[in-house]
Amino acid sequence: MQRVLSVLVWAGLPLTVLAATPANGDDWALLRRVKLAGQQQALSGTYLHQMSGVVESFRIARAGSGDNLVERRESLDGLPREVVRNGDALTSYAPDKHALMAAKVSAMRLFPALSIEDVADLAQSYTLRHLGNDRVAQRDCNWLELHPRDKLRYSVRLCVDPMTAMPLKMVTLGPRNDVVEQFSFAELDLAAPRDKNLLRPHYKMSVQLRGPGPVASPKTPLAPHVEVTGLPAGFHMIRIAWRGLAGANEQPVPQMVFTDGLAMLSLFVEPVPEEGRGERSLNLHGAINLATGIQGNQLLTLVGDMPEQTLSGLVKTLRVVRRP
Amino acid sequence: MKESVSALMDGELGADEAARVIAAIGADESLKETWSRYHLIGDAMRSGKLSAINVENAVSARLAEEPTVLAPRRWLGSTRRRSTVGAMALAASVSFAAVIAWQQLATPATGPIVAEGSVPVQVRPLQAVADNEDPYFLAHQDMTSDSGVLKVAYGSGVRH
Repeated sequence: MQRVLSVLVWAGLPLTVLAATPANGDDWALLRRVKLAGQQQALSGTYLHQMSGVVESFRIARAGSGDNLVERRESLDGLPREVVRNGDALTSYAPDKHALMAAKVSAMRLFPALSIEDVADLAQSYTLRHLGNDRVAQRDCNWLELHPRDKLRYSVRLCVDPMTAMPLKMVTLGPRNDVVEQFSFAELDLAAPRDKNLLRPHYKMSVQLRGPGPVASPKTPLAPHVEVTGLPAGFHMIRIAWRGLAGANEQPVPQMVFTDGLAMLSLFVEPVPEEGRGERSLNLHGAINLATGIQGNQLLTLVGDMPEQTLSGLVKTLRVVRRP
Repeated sequence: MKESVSALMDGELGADEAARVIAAIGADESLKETWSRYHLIGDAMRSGKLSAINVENAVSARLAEEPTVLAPRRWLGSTRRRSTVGAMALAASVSFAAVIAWQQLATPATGPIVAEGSVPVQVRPLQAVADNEDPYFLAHQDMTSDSGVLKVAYGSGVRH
């Protein structure tokens, strides 16, 4: 059965890989359109999400625009879950507490929205190229690849609808071109759903994950000036907060978030615990990995969508310096 | 005479000759038809689409001429028996096709594909998705899902 399924997966990936053509300014402009369409294009459809050992499917519907944008996705298998976007607000819904946790995890990746912070940041760490044509969800599409300039990050391939710039399929590949995670529409209508019920949450328990309005500022407003060295080129810090880690450490610890425009990396700095949790590295969810290492009196933990071997290497080589 | 009509259309006739041909067209119904047909051909060749042809009358006339087919119906019994045999043959060929399809599926697909490896797919309870309650993972999610809302101005904070 497993073999047949994986063959089905193969069959879903027919692609004529043409000679890759390097990008020009128009392609970066296209990527901006892809980002916009992925976030805002009215649609209704279903998509598959595959990652390490799991396939799940979701139905998604989106209508309106700007502050009035409403989007709802619901799982079609596994635990019942919903993720609803309402303007700036993002809320997970589920019928019980256990499923609510899963709903929160599902809100991690909001395909077809891309997790690109700013397209302008990407050129430093990635090249953009075309890889030929394909067909996804009965639509012709063109492959576009963000390929890292080093071997430390994932590449991302997007099959883009030429009319609307809508990403129909997104594949994350590891350094050896192994598929780590992928999303693919199975059916798609590029219009708001006729049935307005598809835009309303159905489950009673909820947790708000984002906005509207300003999010509570970090508990310790004046975080010490921290400088981190040894991250791959192109990464810059975008957020810093002091936070308690539920179940791990009651004391607030600094969490810094870095990005190269595509990959998001969290760094936690803690004192080394007495009954030392050793060094570990593991896959958490899809392309997101974790690595922990001890440097002197600091326990460093890296979490982010970078290959596991990159994180376990980085956790040994990066340096965190606090400046007064 | 038809050559003269064609020459008239192409403007190749002198005034006298043209007047004579025009008079002939006015008098002769078949020449009038030739004149219109030549113009239709000319229009079609120039524009690539047919301009205003009225086929309604011609089609109605031909339909009226069609003979009505009067034939006895086949004996029902034989039809039924044949359809059962047909259905069995169809079922057999469908299952044969299924066997072929299964064999096709069981052999690894070849040809160009998106990557050199595929996502290893296991049929595993999906609850696994929910069991990820690692506090670092949840903290990472908290801080990365609110893109654009909480930004800091610490310079880049990174030295390479």
